[in-house]
Amino acid sequence: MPEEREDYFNIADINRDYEELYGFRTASAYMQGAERGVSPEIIREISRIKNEPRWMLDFRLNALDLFNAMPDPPWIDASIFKDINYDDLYFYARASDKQFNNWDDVPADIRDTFDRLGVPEAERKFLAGVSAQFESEVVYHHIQEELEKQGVIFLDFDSGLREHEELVRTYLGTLVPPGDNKFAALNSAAWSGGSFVYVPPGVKVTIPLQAYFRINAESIGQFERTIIIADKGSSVHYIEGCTAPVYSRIAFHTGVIELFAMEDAYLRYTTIQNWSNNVLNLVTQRAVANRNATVEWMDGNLGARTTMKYPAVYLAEPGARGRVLSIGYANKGQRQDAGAKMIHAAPRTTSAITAKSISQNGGRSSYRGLVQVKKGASHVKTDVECDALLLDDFSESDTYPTIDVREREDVHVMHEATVGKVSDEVIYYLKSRGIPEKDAVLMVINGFLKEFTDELPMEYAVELNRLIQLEMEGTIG
Amino acid sequence: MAETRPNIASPLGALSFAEAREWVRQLPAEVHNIPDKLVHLENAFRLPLPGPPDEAWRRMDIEQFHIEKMVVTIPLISVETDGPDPGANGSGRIEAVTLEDIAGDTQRRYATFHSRFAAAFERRRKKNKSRANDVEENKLYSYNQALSESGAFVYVPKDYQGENTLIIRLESPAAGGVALPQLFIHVAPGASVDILLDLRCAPGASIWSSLKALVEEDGELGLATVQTASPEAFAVQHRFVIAGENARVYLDDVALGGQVSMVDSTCTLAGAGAHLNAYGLMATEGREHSGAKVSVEHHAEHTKSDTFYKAVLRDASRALFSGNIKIPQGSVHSVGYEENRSLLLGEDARSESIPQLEIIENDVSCSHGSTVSSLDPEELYYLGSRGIPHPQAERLLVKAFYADILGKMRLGADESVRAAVIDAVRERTGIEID
Repeated sequence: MPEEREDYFNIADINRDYEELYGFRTASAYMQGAERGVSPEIIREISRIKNEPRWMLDFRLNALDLFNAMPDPPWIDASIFKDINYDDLYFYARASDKQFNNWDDVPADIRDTFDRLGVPEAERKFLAGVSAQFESEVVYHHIQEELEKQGVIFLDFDSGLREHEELVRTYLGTLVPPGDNKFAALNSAAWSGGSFVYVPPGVKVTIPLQAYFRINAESIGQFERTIIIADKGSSVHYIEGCTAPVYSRIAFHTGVIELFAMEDAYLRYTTIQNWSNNVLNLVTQRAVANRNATVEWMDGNLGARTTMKYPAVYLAEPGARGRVLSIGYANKGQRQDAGAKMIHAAPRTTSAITAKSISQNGGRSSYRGLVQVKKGASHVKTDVECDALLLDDFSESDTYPTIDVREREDVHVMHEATVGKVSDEVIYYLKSRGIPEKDAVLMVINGFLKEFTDELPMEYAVELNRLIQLEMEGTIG
Repeated sequence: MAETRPNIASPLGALSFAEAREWVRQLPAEVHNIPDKLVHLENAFRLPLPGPPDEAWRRMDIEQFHIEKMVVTIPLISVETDGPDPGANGSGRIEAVTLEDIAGDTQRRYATFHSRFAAAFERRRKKNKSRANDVEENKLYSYNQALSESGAFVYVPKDYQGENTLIIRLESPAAGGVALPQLFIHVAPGASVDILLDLRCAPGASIWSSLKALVEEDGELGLATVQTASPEAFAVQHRFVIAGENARVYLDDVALGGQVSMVDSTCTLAGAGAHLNAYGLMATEGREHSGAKVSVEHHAEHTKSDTFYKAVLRDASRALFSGNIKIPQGSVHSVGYEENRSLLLGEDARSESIPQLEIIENDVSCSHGSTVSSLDPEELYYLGSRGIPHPQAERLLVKAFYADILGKMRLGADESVRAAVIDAVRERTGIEID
């Protein structure tokens, strides 16, 4: 495979120093700071600054009560929450007061950060619109004219609320109610930023909609809230990529994503999450697929100290399809607790989950998933595959699936999982062909992840391969 | 028929801790470990009913039972071989006695078993890293440990190679009562034994039993458990099996009936080369709820396990399989496999499967599979087109479904055990699985 090798060496020269390229932080002048901790006063203040309607303030305050009353999720070992100190977190901060339509208007320090990430180039070449979340607030937003002509709404969530209040109000919290779990409650109380997307009936959005999310301040909570509605027969692909600088303190990220795929719609949501290794990333992602609709979650979890993320598809009407394809990479000190949920609530629904994880240097990756077939959901087919790769003898891999079936009529539920290491024989073979061991291992890993990278737009696939390689540097051979 | 009498007069809910403590203290100290029992007694009073966060127990609908109304009863126990005990190669005889009959040399062996088991269990505890939400403490197990005075002890001497199956019957005899039998099995190095454990509940009776088995190096234990219970019974088995170097353990579980029945077993492959097969066959009907929690711990190199449970669910019954293969660091070249298959026949039946893996060693091969399906319409159609009516076709397909697990079971090869299993399944489900 000469092309792949060439590709590999080209990639090797890019971003040789992770610290320099990703480990930076720019000093931001906070226009609006807020106190640490969460309280009704802070929530009122957030709502006031954003000039929100009364119902939204009530929504937030109600959620805050739920948050304070709820325990941590009981279904996971409590050690995962031990570092969280809610009183020590900032719940709202933003770097700039304004929204920008033009890249040149974005403040220089923020622009600098994005320049170093390569966002503008990427945008020029590929992006339909960039919604860059920086310090809890969307500061830059651009939508191509053709999207506007098609009637596609692609806004940051605050603008979405201002300009399409009724739509937001109709859908907000219907898939992830504030009381769903403690972190969803926190997000509902303190949300800021995120995206609001509406694709009108029949509209096919041919270019992926992209948003870059960033965390860039110590102990800042990011609570992005995203709603995507793909109306009847429409099709859209939304990409969220995260790259966070390295901090000394714990950053806290609790997002809530709600996707609505109406009849015959196609909706794909891609995430490449590469938070710095001190971030807690506890996200509730849920989708509903109506009649003959398809929802796909593509979920890459590379960074963060702790990730808890289980994208779900509620297959609500006959013919709906759901798919989750996820990868997790747990390096030293990291815990990737990721998975997927498929709820079959209607007949003739199908779903597939493919979860791949790699652990090294003592990292722990877990698959935690649920496949449920409700009574009445006949003629269902669902397939789960989990593969885990352990690169050394002290890293950890867990598989915690739950399969719950309550319908007997023509139901096929399959689940398979394997855990193992990179095959000695394969490495031996590659070495016998003159490929150094380190390259051989990388080739195997790239092959292991190929199913995922194949689904990504080209620049993301390149970036992902690069990140994996950076993660592995100095650890093999 | 042995006499059935409550051994502690009050129902569990009316029993005071002081009263129970006095009762425990008066047990014969040469058979019962009183300090240990008192610790369990505290746990039995302190702990809530098993449930969250334990992933398996939280799914079992046990709140429906009024355990406070249950009275501890003496189980009926019988121990027999299905033929003369040959002690084939002059290795000495197998000793199988009820706890009441323990005396002399057997008592010494009984004490040795307990000290060895405790030491092995302590080594296990140190090696076992708590990860998921499996909870070791259990109120029902603690009740069994604290308030049981009955049970059986089996000692299989070194290099014993018997051909006959030892049959142990434990029955909970009285409606409204719960029997708490304990079973201890010690397989000495190089010995091999097959045991059929026949667990029964009289109508309206419940049983919370426990088993501790130690299989020493090169030993072999085949243990088939056939549990039958009336539809209102609350049947629980707690099991701890520890296998030494190159030991082989074959657990065959047949669970038939009980309003709620649950097997909670922990098998530790403690010695290098130890091997475990755990195979289960479940059949549920009515509103029965049957569960199997099978934890396999690979605590040494070159250990191998194969777990395979199959369930057929009728009516509005429920079945749960919760498996967990744990391979800690250092257990290289281990192979672990677990599989669960369920066939849903009942309109309101519900199958839950939680096949878990916790692996901290990369030089291993570990996987699991789980499938839930209904009767294949095409297969039914085919059989129908051959003139086979639906009920008969269904029976044929169920028989086919069970065929492989019955073939895998070690004691499926023993004619008398096989017959016992087949009879029990026929009696329960009306299906001829042979």
